[in-house]
Amino acid sequence: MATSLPPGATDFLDSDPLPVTRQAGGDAAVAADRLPQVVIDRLMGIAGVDGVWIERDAGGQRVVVLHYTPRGSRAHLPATVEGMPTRIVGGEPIRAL
Amino acid sequence: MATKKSPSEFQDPHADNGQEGMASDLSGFEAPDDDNAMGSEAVESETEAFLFGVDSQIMAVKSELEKLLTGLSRESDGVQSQAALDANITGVGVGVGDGESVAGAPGDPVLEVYTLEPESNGELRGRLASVAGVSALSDGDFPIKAVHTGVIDAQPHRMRLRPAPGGISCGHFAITAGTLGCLVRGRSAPRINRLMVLSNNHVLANTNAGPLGANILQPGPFDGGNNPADRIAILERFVPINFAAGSNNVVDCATGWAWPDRVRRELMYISGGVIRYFRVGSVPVAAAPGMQVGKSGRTTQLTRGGVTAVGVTVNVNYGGGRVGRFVNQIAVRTPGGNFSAGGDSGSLIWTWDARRAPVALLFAGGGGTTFANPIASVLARLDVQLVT
Repeated sequence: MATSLPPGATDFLDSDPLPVTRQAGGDAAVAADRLPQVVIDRLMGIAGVDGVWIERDAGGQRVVVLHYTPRGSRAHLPATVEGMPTRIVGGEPIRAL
Repeated sequence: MATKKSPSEFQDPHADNGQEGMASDLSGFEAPDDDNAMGSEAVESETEAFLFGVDSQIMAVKSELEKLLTGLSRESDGVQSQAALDANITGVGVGVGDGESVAGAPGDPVLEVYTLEPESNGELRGRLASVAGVSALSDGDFPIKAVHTGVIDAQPHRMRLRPAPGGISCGHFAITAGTLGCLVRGRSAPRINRLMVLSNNHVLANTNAGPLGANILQPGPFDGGNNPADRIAILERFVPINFAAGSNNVVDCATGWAWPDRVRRELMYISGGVIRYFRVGSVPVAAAPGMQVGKSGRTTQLTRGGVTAVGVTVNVNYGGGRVGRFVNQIAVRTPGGNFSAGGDSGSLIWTWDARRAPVALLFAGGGGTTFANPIASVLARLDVQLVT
């Protein structure tokens, strides 16, 4: 059941944890990875949409991800949000594990 | 945010990895007492009540087969012995019949025999009659049912383990099973003297049902945890999940007040079939897209993934038609695999690097994505600090 990890991948677990050093400048990046609440509310109001967030695509560009549970047509979902392209994921409900 | 350690209270972190001694010296904490816990006498033993009504002949044969199993386990040196292969039996139990494939009326008790290889009920009965020498099995009407299981492997993250580490099965006595995330303590008196297990509300508090003082078992009931024998903690606090329309949640979390000698600060994982232990850092860090993270959980064990998003809004199903909206969550994915699955709820997520800094508390998933609460929000809402 466990995801197989390559040999040596867990060697770093054998030592004591190293201390955390704070890095400046993280807040701006995090802010750009969040949608305005009014936009989130509008998207979550679309029937079948049960998750909204921003991710980066393979090229590092931000995309808006819509977690959409129903199967069938997705044509009514927006192609762009706040100038960013959308990507549809899901196909099953999000559940407490 | 981090736990302040005093030499007398915490041990040298350089103890050998994997040794029992690593868990020592959590003795400075107060243990819960029975005034806080649900009375043990209130816990009914449904198993005993069921077996009390089973035919004595079934129980006698079951006892004989258990002796056979004991003998086979002594003979085994890690591989299946010839005697075990001949017996074709891996376990025995009492189930209920369907009235068709097994003699008796529907619902009548039957002897279930778990087998290495598929076998019909009649073949099994005849062979065990000769191997075990139980005369009752030569009766063609004896209610016996063959259940093919194959070799039964131990599931290390689902086993009973004392002291119990993070990453192992646990749960409220009335749920199935989740994961013990890690240890925490209160930030002020009297909770600062309490050593507590951290996990989800839906793992430790049965999704708002509680009550405070309810027994928390290790392993969780689905993994064989018995109430109250396997109690390691009692429900101490939980943040209620608000299922009302228009409500936003940030955390699904709870604490269980633990007996210090029943838990350990390390997290576990399996390497080469051996249980290994490791520590996480005591200073949380905020998640960021691209951050590599890991977790140790009851079901998918040790996994690695990447944070794909922060500021996530999701609707989460809790069964029974209950859906809770969560905001400001963290999304994690593992390319080509699953970062988590059912039963991993409550796992601590930490940076996959030498810091192993706590990042989030795993609680939900769907469509290949795992969702988690920011650990800083969890610690703040429960008013606790990490004990790592």
